Amino acid sequence: MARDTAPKGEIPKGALRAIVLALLAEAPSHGYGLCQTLAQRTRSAFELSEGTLYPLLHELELEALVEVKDSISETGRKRRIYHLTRAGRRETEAKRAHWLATAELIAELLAPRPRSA
Amino acid sequence: MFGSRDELCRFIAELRIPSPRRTLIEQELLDHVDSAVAAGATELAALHALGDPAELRRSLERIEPAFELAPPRAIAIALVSSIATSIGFALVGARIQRTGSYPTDLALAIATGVAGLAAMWLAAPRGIAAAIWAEARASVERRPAATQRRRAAVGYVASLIGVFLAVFAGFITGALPETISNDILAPWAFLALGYGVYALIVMRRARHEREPLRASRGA
Repeated sequence: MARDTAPKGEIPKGALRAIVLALLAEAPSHGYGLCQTLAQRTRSAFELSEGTLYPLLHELELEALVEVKDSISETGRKRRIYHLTRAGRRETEAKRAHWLATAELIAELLAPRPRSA
Repeated sequence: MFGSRDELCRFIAELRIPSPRRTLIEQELLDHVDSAVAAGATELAALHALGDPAELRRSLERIEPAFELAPPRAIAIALVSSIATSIGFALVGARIQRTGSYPTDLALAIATGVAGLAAMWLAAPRGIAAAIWAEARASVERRPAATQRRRAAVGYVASLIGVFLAVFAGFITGALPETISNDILAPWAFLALGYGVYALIVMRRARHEREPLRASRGA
């Protein structure tokens, strides 16, 4: 997608949840790492308050979709690495299917069609 | 927007969330800022990227209290609420049940059971439902760590079942009069029936999760 036609705005919360799960399915990560990956993949097209990511990650932790392993950052600070659980992987697949089907449907609805007489 | 690390730390200190979670969030957000600075951002930009403090406060204060589940408190609440509910069942049974026809008594037992469930639900510690649900759907790949929250969920459910079993034992051994035992056990039985169906669904889902795992291990 060309940069000038890229969407500007916030990622819908439900979609952000699915995206975060999908990114964690690729590799465990800490909060900042997820923000970086998200910014790279979307070419910073979406505005994301990075602070909103942490409540979402904690919500996923509450639901046992992710589990946390502690490590130490380069600066010596304790770092929380989020790993997907088996339940999380199942949820990821379900959300992925849902959002891909939704996106396909929207694309079909928005596609220009010749005007009927 | 946060203007400095001190402001961020003050914000976290003022959050109405459990103290251990406050420490953890402080470490996590400061690590975020450190990482952004190490990647080349200015400290102010890193702090601004955290977004609107009011929105962050709303989200954190909604989610974090659910992590505060101390096992002794959860067990105490389970014991007190289930014993109080059992006494309530006995009182309702003595006054209302045993007076009408069998179907009427049965309907009253169901209604009392539902009312008891509602009372226990209101008395339950905050976040216990999410903890029990999380426990039920937790990873089956390997045994997860026995966190405080997991122990609270297991302790809560075990205490509820324990009170029911104690009444049942009292019924069998004759320690409780038969009429009183029936008044208590009938609503509990309907509750157990409801929970039983739910437990079967959970077990079915867990089995469904284990199948691909077993297949991948060649079991």
